Amino acid sequence: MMILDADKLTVTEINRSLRDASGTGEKVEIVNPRSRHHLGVGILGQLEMAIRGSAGYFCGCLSEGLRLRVGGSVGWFAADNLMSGEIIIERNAGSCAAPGMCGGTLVVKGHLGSRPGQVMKGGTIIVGGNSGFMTGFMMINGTIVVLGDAGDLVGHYMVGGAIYVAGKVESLGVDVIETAYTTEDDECLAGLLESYGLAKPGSFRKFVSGQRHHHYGREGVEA
Amino acid sequence: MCGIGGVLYKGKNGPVGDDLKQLVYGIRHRGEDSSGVAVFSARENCGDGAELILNVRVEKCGCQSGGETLNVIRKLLTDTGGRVIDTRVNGTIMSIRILYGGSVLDLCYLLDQYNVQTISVGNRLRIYKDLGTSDRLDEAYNYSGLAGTHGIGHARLATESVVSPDRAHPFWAYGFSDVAIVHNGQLTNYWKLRRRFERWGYRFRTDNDSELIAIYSAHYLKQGLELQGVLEQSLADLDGTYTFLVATPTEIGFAKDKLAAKPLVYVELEDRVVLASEEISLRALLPGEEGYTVEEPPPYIAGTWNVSGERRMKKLTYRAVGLE
Repeated sequence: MMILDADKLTVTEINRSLRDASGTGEKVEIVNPRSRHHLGVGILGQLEMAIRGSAGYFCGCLSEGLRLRVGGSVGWFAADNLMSGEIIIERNAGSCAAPGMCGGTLVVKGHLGSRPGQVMKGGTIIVGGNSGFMTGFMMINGTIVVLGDAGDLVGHYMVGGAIYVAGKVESLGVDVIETAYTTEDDECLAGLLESYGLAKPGSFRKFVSGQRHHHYGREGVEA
Repeated sequence: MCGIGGVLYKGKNGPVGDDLKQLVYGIRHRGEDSSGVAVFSARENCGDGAELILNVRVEKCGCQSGGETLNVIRKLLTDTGGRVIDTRVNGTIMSIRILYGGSVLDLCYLLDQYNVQTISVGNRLRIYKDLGTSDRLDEAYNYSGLAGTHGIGHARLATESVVSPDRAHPFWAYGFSDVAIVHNGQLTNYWKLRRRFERWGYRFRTDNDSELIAIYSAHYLKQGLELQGVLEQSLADLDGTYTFLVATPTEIGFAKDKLAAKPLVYVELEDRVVLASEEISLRALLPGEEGYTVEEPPPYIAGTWNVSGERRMKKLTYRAVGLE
């Protein structure tokens, strides 16, 4: 186990060490993070790491194959452009989590701020608590699962993917429709949540794109 | 991008100056053009209501010397029945304690005619601001030793006006006693609102949009609105994207617009409330990882804490026109 003390290293030095450790099988732990930004960024190989405490902005972003567990909370833009892997946040995450996410899973056991999953292209976001406004703003594909409530404008201008909300939905965004929550959906979510030790609520509401504002690739519609 | 921060001690005094130094230093990456703090001094250090502290810039940016400034102030006070109690100079800011029972607005506008660059006026408010980061500011102005009930601070990356000491934050509400603000964002109806306030007789010291928030807040406080009410109203009146803090002698409040693109987090402890643009700033002041939860207010919300520790918070409902 490699221990990196953020009190004694710069963020650049930490990320360089993480890249060196990726693919070697050695686990890494960061101590004294004190909400520093850019921890675990650009890790393009298999790496299992933990942050003992809270991280700042852009935690785990631009990574492919990273398996990260954050003991505290994270700031804005966690898992930005995540390609694959798994990031688990034990407490809250700030706004704009997982923008442009292409794959992998982001699990936030606490609450999420505004605009999570903005223009996400794939992957899964699971929120144990509430999700802020514009959840799934302009999302293109992927899945967002909210176990608590969702703020205003859920799925605003989404063109693909699905958003599941167990709690109260403040309002829907433009071009979002509610569709049937099927047994298949339920089985799929039950398995997904169980794998992260999260209890599945009785039921969810499922939201998808109404496809009324999405013209690209549709015949007979001028963009 | 700018960084804002604030601290309020519940029912007691605390090392507000030092807290703000650490908070603002913790967000220096959000702007190193200038920095500043507004400290509301400890209760026992305040005189009666007629006692005011004038913080004025001297010996810099075309300002008069300390001696010249003091002569002007003495003359004006003599004419109005007031007097200077004492003075203290830190860096290029002179703090002048005066006894004055007249209109603060009239005094400030008179001082302006004599080219006195007032930075803050108040019974308890002291503002220190200049170019550079908060640690360099403290080297020059030694504000970290100031105790108080609460205060706000700022790290500026200039976007809306030039980099200069008078355009650094916090902005004092020019002409009003004990009202200061720090702001992160842009107001898109600044000129429209400024012209309205100028028609009502108010003056502005700068061309910075943040100054409008200070005058706006002070005006409606003077009209009798509570700070919470002013902040809720500001969400409808101010266009743009912003998060700002307003401090009065008894409260700190915040407003966050409907798009919420400008961050704010806070932590509420038993003895104090600490607010900042980013958690990294809170951690700079409160290094322990456990024992407190960092909260991020949702969009379109206003909240206040008073010096007794009472909190009010209200999320407004926004419905965009034309939504299907």
